[in-house]
Amino acid sequence: MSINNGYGEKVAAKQKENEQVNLQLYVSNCTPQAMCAYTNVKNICEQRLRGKYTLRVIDIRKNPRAAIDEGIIATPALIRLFADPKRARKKVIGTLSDTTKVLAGIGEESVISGQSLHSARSRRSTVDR
Amino acid sequence: MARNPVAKKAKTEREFPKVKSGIKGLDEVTGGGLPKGRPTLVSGGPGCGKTLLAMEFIVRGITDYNEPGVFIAFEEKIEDLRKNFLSLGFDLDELVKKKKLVLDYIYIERSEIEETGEYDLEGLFIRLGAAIDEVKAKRIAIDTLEVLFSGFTNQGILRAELRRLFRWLKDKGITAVVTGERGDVSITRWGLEEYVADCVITLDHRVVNQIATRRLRVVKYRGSIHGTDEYPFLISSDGISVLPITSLSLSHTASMERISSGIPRLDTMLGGKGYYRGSSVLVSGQAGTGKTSLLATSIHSACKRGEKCLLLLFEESESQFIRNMRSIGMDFEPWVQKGLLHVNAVRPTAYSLELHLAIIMKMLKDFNPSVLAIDPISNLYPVGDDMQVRSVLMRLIDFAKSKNITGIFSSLTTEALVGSYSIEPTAMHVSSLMDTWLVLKNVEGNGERNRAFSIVKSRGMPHSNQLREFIMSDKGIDLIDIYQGSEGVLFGSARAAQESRERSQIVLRDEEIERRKRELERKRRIMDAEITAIRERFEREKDEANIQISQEKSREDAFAKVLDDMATFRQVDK
Repeated sequence: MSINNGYGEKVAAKQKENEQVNLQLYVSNCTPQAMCAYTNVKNICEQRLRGKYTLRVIDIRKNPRAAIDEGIIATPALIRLFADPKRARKKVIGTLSDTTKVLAGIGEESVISGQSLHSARSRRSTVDR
Repeated sequence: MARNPVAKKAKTEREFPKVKSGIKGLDEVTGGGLPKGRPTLVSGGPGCGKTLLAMEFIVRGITDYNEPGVFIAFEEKIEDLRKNFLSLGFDLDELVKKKKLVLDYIYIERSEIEETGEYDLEGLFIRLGAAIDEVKAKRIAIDTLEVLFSGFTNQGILRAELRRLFRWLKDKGITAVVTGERGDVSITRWGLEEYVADCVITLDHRVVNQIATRRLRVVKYRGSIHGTDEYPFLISSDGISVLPITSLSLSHTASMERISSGIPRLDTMLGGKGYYRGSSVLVSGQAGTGKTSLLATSIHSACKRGEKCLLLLFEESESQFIRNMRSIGMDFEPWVQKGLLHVNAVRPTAYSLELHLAIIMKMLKDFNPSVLAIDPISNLYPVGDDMQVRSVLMRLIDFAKSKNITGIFSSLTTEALVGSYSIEPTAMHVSSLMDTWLVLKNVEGNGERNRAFSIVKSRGMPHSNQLREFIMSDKGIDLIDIYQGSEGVLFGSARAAQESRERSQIVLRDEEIERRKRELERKRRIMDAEITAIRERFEREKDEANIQISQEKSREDAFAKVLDDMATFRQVDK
């Protein structure tokens, strides 16, 4: 946590402020897992990234080409699209029940520390299957 | 698991459809191919040919059986696969263009995946499904599914999904080949064999005596009989070929044609006509007994008949062989120049046994000779063990027989059995493959070493049971009767000495007879002389007697005349 209080954190935060967080959630059908993942990611975004995110849900059953192009093996999978396509992106898979992991996965670590007081509450508030 | 495959044979042959893999030899080992519509697991260590087997299954399916296929790679990129398989003569691009093949590389990187909560592998299913539908695939290869285990940490989910995957593939009726890394305790590192229970094949790449050998084994094949041995296989320029040892049936037709061995006396011993064409001949013997020369004589005679010969030398170079054979009056140079004789001299340890076999078979196919000679097969023993050499030879001989090629093989036996005629254990193993077995032996005695020759067996013809002395001279090879008489069995100079002894005895006897005759003659002459002398004496005496008689007579006559005269004188009246 302490490293985030340094100079670097400010710079990172500054960059983040300008950047929109574009998220894609790949699911297959309306399975309970998919519903659960959607609810969780929606909660996290509303709490931490309100107003600066987009979330698009893609059903790979209906759109298999998208899944193949994106290299989706496991579902549900959450991917953040960066402006720079070369930037390595992580896939966060599963029901997305761990807020810290989800935020780390989409490269929003700063939000974890910035609202660390709320994190315990928010974790409780997320739906866990 | 523990079903008795033999008991089920009759039933399964009707019920159990199989798909020909198209891989040389594999279909023979598996009794007709891989289980149709079911997954087969191919497990093995790194570099033993799993990917190749999986790819060849797909490619052969397309080219030989018109079954479109999908190849899913988890480890190698498509570009790498293309390059690697192009070197084996598989043009994957061409097949992709023809819409017969889908190559898909699935990239899974642990560091790029964050797991939180439960998930499924629906994405994989979608992807496989799309690929299968694209070409209406009948076959799929997945290489190596285990990458999933390094990509995802939740084994519980993974195993459930794998089970679902195999069930899904079965439902689709797709014949699948799944590769897996060999594990330390189980067949595969992640226990894939639990899910792929129908057919499991293991590949192995072992190095024995610094020579690498690849082996394949069908560990399990549910509801089907299969070969359970480890079969050597090789990766050559045209893919995998498994060498099933017992799979070739003995169905070649036997030729009635006889060919000369090149040694008239040997032909006489072999029922008067020589070997059968297409038979296999083993010439075994100790070092320096003339195996190579005997073998060479047969080749020489075949070349003289205008037949093509393939000679494989494991000990000498071609020029050394030609030089040495000149010393016993055979010149192979013209045959080589005419293209009748092809000599291939290579150290046996140059390649592994199967590669030897593959190369020999290729030469046989390309050159199509009528005689194949190997000098000596015993030199293959450092390369493989007894079983392997035997299996390679069996395969080779069977192949040669099917092409009606006469095989002549020499084999070195150990020096330990000098002078005895017991049969060597090494040659025993090979000898059952041979139709004719000629044995050369060193026989020591009287401070010298001689060569004895005999025919141990020769199938399908009457043959001599006699030992012959094997003599090499600048005129070639000759087989000579050994001395068998009151002095026992003699070879070499002892035989020569005995023969000369016998010759001198005959001379002595003849001289004695002559002497006797002369004696008799002399006696007769003496007798004749004596008879003449007696007769002369008799004549002489007779003459004397006659003279005396005539004298007496004349005297009497004279006396009578005197009396008469006196009477006249006295005038005696008459």
